Amino acid sequence: MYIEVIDKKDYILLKALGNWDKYSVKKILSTPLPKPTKKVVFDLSGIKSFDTAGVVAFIKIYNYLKKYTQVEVINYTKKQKELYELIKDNINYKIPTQKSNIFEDIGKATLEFLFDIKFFLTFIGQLFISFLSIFKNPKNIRYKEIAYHIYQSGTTALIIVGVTAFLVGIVIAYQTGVQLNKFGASIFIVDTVGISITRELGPMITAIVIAGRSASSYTAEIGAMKLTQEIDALKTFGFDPFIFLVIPRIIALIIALPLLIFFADVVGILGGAVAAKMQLGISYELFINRIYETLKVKHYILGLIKAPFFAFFIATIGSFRGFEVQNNTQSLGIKTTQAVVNAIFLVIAIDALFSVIYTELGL
Amino acid sequence: MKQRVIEVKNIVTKFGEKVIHDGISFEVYEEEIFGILGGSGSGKSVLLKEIIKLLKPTSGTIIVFGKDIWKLSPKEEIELKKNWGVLFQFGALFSSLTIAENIAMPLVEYTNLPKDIVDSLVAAKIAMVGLKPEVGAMYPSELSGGMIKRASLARALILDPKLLFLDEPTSGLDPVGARAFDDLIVHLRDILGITVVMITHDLDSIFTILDKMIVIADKKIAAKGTLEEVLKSTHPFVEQFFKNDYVKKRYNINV
Repeated sequence: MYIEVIDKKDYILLKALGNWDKYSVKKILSTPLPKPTKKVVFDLSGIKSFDTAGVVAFIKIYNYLKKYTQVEVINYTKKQKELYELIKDNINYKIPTQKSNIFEDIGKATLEFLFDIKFFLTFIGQLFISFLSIFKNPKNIRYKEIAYHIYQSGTTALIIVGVTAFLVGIVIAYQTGVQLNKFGASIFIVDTVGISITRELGPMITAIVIAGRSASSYTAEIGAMKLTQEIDALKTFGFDPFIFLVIPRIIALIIALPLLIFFADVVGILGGAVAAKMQLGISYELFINRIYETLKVKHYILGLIKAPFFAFFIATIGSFRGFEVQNNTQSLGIKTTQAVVNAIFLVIAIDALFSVIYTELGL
Repeated sequence: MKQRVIEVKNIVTKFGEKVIHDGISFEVYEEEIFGILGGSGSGKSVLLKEIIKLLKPTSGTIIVFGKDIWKLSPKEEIELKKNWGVLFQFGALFSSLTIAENIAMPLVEYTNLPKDIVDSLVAAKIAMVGLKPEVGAMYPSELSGGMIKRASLARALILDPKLLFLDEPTSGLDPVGARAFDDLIVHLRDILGITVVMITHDLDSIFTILDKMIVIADKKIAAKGTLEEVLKSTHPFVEQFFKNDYVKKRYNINV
């Protein structure tokens, strides 16, 4: 019971009771009020405690009654009056909300996509200029950062790349082994594993793992630096963020990725050999001899040629998205996701492009 | 007799070998505006973190509203946290929510108030801290530093806390805004009966609005009490901080 209604002869007495605070406001407002046919006297002496929410409730009731009749408020304290004065004019301000419709959203998304492409091209252009300035002035090459990123993106990725390549080797050998066995052509398992791993799967699997691993970390690192204004600080000193942040990452990945792919090739073929032995009973000696005979170096080289392209785009996308981070934490997550998705897509697209080129050239 | 709101007893804080506080004790009474002063690296922020239960001191007890904050049941802890508000130095607004959503969040989580009342309360608090209602629809990243501080104060005040912690409330504000902020704090204290604990370097705040203060130097309390009491201290840090020529001229004190 928060409001007691007493019908006096020439006026209605409303007695406010109890705690008028944020936990009771809902109940206060659901109290049925009398039809105010005569003058109302609002007695606040029964209020034990109150807070801002309670005062808002009071104002709502007061304004409602005032529409119909004369209201007199009695027995209020100085603090109640002060709090009332402080907020009475402000509670009806409407906070504007931002609404949108589907067409607006589609339009915005389209524009954003187009701007995205434009910004990426601008980014590549700036990168190119910074690259040129490095050629002009080779002491700008930041060897320490390059070494750091080779370690972070290459060395520490060895285990995950190795495990992935090994498993892919096993899967390929098992899947094709079943078919080849039907034709009594088991030994061709060696050709299949050797060529598919070195030419296609080794480079692509490695690039996808690195795209997930390094593109995200580049975006997060550069994005966090943007949030903490470290990039602004670099710029005010006249340092080119491309030379300090982007180019070392690109060079590091261009060096590390081919090495990782070589490692993946070796481990992938090993996986194939293990599966061939277990499933088809092809001994390791036989496997290795056959590899020597049939796996031409060109397959390995054709696979490796793709590596610098993968590396360039993974590092560039990762850095680009990092620079796009806008001053709030949410955009860091969004941009990191975008970086990984873009990088993986680009890896697959580049791989497809190379397949077409190799086929057209008859390689 | 005023109630004790905070009692800090014999706090010792060590980070590894490094001693930050070596036996700090003080009390804060109801409706006081209480300052924690000290040089950079003197451990003011660490002390504040310990009082608001973000960091556990190495030893010592902290009693807030009569209860040891490290010996609370989960329910008591929620009750305690509903009764205090914290303004962080850089606002710490949730960047994925609008200002209005930021301010409304504690109300929405802890009460069953209907939406129109929540909106009214948010609008009232936004106006109370001196922001325009349009700000409510904006995101923290669209606001200036001073506006973020005000919005963050509105969020700290939304549950009408009895105890308010402010970490350098006037730093980063323009001088006019800073004085208005001070006035606002005094006004809120007078109307709502809030107890305020603040870390500050702002001489104007120290000389005009603080009722009592402690000065931390050399891991201990160098001086405590009202401004007059602190000015009587002869501790080197107090001498340096309060009794330099600038302060003497600016505030006309003779000590």
